[in-house]
Amino acid sequence: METVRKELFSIVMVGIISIGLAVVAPVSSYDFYLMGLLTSACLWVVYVVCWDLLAGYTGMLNFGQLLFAGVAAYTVALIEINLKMPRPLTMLIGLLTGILSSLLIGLPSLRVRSTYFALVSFAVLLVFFRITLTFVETFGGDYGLSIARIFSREVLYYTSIILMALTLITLRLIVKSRIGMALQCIREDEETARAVGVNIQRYKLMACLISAFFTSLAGICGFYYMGHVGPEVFGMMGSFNVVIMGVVGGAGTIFGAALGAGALSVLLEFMRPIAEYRNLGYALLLVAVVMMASRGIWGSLASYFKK
Amino acid sequence: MVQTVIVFGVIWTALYCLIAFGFSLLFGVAQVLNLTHGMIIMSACYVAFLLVTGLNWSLGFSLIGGVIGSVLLILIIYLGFIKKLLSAPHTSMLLLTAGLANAIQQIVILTVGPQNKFVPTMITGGTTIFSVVLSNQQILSVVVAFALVVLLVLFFQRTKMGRAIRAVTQDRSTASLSGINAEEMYLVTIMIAGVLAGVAGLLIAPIQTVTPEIGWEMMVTAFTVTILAGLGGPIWGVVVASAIVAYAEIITAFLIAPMLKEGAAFVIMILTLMFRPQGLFGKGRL
Amino acid sequence: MAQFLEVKNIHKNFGKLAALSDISFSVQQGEVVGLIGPNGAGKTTLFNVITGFYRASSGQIFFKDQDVSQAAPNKLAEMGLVRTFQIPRPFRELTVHDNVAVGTLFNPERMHKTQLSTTEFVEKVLDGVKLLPQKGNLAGNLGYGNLKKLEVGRAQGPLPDLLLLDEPFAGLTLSETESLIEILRGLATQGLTLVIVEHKLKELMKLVKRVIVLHYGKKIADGNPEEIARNEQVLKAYLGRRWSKSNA
Repeated sequence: METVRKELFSIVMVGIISIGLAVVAPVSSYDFYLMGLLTSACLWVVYVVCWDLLAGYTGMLNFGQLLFAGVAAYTVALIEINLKMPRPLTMLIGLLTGILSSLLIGLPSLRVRSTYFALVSFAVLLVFFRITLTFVETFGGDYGLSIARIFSREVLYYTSIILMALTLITLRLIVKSRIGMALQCIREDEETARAVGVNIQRYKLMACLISAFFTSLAGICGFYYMGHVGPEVFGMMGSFNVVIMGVVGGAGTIFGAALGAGALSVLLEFMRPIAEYRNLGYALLLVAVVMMASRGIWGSLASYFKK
Repeated sequence: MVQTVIVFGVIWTALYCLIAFGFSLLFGVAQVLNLTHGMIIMSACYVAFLLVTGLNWSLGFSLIGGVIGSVLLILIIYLGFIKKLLSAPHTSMLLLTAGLANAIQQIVILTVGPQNKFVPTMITGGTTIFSVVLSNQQILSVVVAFALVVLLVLFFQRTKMGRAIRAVTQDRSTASLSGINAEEMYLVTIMIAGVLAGVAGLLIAPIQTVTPEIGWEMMVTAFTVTILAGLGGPIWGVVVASAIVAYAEIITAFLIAPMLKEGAAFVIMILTLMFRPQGLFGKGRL
Repeated sequence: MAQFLEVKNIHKNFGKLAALSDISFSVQQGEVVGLIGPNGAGKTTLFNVITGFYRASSGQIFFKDQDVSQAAPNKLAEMGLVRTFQIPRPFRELTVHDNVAVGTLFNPERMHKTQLSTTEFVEKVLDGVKLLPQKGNLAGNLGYGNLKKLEVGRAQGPLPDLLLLDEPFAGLTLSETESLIEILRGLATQGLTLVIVEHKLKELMKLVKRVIVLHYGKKIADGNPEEIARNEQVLKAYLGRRWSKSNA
């Protein structure tokens, strides 16, 4: 495949970084803490890169990326707690519900401008937040749902690295392919895209489903890692952080978004003690980047070098 | 029970009208999707709260302070930020206003604390209408809200400036050619939106718990009403849409669960976008 | 095939305004047809209806014997019917090369028939519209004249059999127009069927063998350029009654 060959360099880089990550934690003396940090960072990378597919490439700005992760996680949690099912089946169902939830935002936005997608994503998030808080017996209200640790930390750590690598490679190949071209044309000018033969509906849906697929997997992984899922997954802050990481890192460039995710998620963790200031800072960072370097750090650097 | 629903529906229709008007004005005139609108309303609530409880100002001055605060805030947001990005794609504007909205929310939380607040009412006591018990505050809110809506409609249809603004909404360049200063009209519109947001906040604050979340709730409401009404439609379209959303929410709250009332708005939003994207009364551009 | 493109009794209303009334005509493969009429006559509306951007209020469109009255623009592009836009609408963040390449990606069977690689094909097209030196530039950086040429180039990406051009000469200088006329003539020689909406009548007449005239949404004439230039109704439509009476 022509595309794979062209992208060999990126694929190898991803492989090297992944292996590096896989070795780092067990070798260092800060084991658990570092492992947790890196697991979390890998998952954030998945979230942000999937967000980038929707927002950076297709122009569908999504303020509710974590919706898919949250739906998948809650589904898995509910099944684990209430039913007795073989684990692979549980995860599959979780994955399916996560993917389906993307249709809640995707379908209504099909016939209208992509900017409406953004506003619908807000609304969906808010509704799900409310639902988890309303039906307290089912969803555990503020406390959410918890289970005992099933998989070991190492297993989940390695899983998250593999998931991150897979997501990066797959998405990179997709955006360099015909699909990626279609998505960018949709972002640039929907009418013109139609005029040259692009089926807008089909590609928008495709982007939603692909984005939701990996995000859901990450959500499930996150759930097993924490042993817990709560209404905050449907909160504004989480998904907003995804947006910030994507924009600051570089929307429309898979690796830029990944970099933003990696760096900012680690920073997020370190700044936990000053959470409100951190949130304010992140919000202002977004404003600054949008006003000055609309392509994010990666994108700006990339176009600087292109000249 | 039915009377309660009807009467409360009226109250919230009026209030939603105010919220939606402010939002759709900016959307219609300047093509700006201002996600900070909800936060401005929330800020007005908090400003009033602070002035009354913190500085012990009299209620009247606090209210005026709240409105002035909103207008100032919206002007800062427009002149300092939005204006610079007018020529950028819509996504940039969305990101910008989302970032600003979050920043405002965080500043409020940092300043005042994340707990729910209660703003004292402007007038006390209750009245009974159609055997439904209402606080006088609620009645005051409705009356003021409706009065403002009527004033707005008159302004846009009868006054010279109102018509000028409508001209700019339809076609900025042609309006300029007719001698209308589009820039001025934008500023006027923004200030009106600010006033509407401020008043909306002040009317809502005394009859509902003020939390940092209401900024986003207002946003969802504003957006739902605006798309249901449709862009470019007649002004009373917003009134009708507000009524539909308000009643849908109240009925949901009564019959299903109070916390789920946004669900009603959400369902309306989805249905409108899927089956009638131009809204009930909208014309053309999506 | 009965007719290559057949437009049958098309009506299009916007509310109470009848933008198009009972428009019927057909175009054979290989023709080069002009579509003219005073401002507001409905030319762009007709274009939008034919190319699937508007739905007709009544009537039918047939392309290659298939009923395409309800077809979406991308379906039409797949079948070989492509349009350009009066105000250029390039993919700004894509290169000139990619702007043309997009069309090829979504019509792989036709691409295959040309036996060319994507790059070869795109460069051939760009050479045809005299934009080859710009191929690596972002479309958003091009000047107006080049953007109009890019419109024509991009429209060839899907390898159309029928190309509808909406005011391709609008806003171009005399030499740019001449250049574009050459390009379009070249396309016609290659077998592309063209339907061109234009206001620049003198230039248009150099290119087309047949002209259809619209006025207030109705077709008022259909013939070769000489006939049209003498047609009483056409003169009246463009110039007013007094002029036509004294000069018929």
